[in-house]
Amino acid sequence: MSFASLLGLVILVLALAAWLVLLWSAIEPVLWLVIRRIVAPRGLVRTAATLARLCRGGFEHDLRGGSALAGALALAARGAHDERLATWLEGQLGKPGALGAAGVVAAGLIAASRGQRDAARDLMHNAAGFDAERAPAAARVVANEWLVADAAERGDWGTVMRLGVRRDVASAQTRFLAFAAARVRRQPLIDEPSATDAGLRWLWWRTPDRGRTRPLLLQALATPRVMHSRKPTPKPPEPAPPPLDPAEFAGDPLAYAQALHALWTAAEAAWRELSPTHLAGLCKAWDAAFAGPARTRLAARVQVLTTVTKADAALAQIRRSVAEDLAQLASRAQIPLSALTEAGGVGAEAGLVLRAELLTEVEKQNQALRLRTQQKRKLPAVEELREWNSLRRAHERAVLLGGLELRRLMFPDIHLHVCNYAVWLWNDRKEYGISGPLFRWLLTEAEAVGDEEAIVLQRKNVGVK
Amino acid sequence: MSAAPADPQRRLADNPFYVLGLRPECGRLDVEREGQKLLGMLELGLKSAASYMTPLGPQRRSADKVRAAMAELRSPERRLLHEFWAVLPPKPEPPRPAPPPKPEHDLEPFAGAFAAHGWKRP
Repeated sequence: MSFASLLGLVILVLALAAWLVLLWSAIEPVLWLVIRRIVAPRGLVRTAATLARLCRGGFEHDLRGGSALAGALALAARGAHDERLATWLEGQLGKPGALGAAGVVAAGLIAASRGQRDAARDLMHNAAGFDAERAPAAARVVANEWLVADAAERGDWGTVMRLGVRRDVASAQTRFLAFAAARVRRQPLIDEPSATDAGLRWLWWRTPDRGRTRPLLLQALATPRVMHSRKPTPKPPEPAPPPLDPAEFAGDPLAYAQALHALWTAAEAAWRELSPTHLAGLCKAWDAAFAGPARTRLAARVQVLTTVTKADAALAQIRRSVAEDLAQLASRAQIPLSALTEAGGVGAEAGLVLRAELLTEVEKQNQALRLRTQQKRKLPAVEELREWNSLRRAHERAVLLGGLELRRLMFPDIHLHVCNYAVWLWNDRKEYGISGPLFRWLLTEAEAVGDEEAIVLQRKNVGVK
Repeated sequence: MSAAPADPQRRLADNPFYVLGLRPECGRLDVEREGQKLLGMLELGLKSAASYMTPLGPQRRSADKVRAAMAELRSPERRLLHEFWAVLPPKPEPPRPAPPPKPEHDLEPFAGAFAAHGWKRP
């Protein structure tokens, strides 16, 4: 064979190979559609996982995660949870190598299949935090669909409206839910006009299960497009009377304080309406009770009952219980620490209790993280995310209630240990998807507290790709 | 001295004085007499003994609760604490308020949200 013939043959082979690659890249989206619409709904976990391995382009950075994601979609479609298959899928995720967004979403679906809804929600949010170029579009769409379905099932239509129309990840189903909710609630969507009747019908037609979404469509169509209501606004319902009226005990400071305390701490869901003013009032009522009547009553009863305990010791124990109750109440109602501190007296004691509890929780988890990083004790990537979510939530709660003062106080240790942890994840374990958001979080914290040195460091870390 | 329950709701609901239907000023004999009477009524299954009133409404009464209440009030230290938290008199249960009308412009939670995606279980 001459050189020219050989060259011609090589060019032909290369052209054929390029054509096959192009053809395959055109087939991949169809293959993913087949997995989502035909294979996964039938609950064929292993088949879906195997087929997804052929979608090499779509899950370029996370082939293992993409396969697990397809399998997890099939697992979620089965009538009952199959722990054997769930364990098999987790085994796929646990293999060495960095976990990508597809793997995180798969872990979230597995958790949801087990009934661990809160954990699943956290993982789906984590997947949303991955960089767009590292996170396969298919994974982000599934995560968004799950979050929208979760919000719709809980009746959190505000979240449905916010997530359902996100440009990069909205699907036909999420867009329909968002537009239908906006129509019924007569509220605008972000950057979207309100849908006409025809628009709503079109969106509904594109949903995968039209039968289930039809009642929503009918409800939306029954509601006119956003316009002023011609009917007068109905009167708000009469508020239910409180189970206890502290005013009845106004003449007795101790009874009044106890009645107020019972109203806010023991009555079902009363804490939802608690405000800083109410809390300050409760603290003052207790201060008035402890100032005289409480001790007098205890001293009299100590004599009658002939107890070994003295009145002062009993009073101190009761005061401590009250402070703990107030701290718990403020925490539940998400009232800032300053409201307790400013109230003085037993309120200030409650503030100390709450402050200690918030700091202890963050410190405990931070130290556990520090120890694990030092000892290089790895956890599977999904467990790493769970531990991080737990620390982050404890920190957020402390900041919400403790304000900037607590945020500044916690920052040096948090920054040191979380940064070391993130560096370990990045450098040694190549978990870029997990550590990237950690660096961004640290930068946000550094900017919030004004730590210039940390800001410079984290800007460098965030800039490193 | 052991403390009353840490949970304020349980502290009120399970206060021995409310369980036994007594006030803090009662004597030791009253505690024993009332406790035995309630145990007998509960054994006979009498409806009048099946619940008791607290400042926040009725609670279910059981023989175990009655025995625990009697044991708590036998100790002077524990009785001292329970007396403090039983200052409020029990009240009759307030009438159940009518449920508020559904807001005109809102949706019910969509129970079939996950199933609409082909996910049979969340």
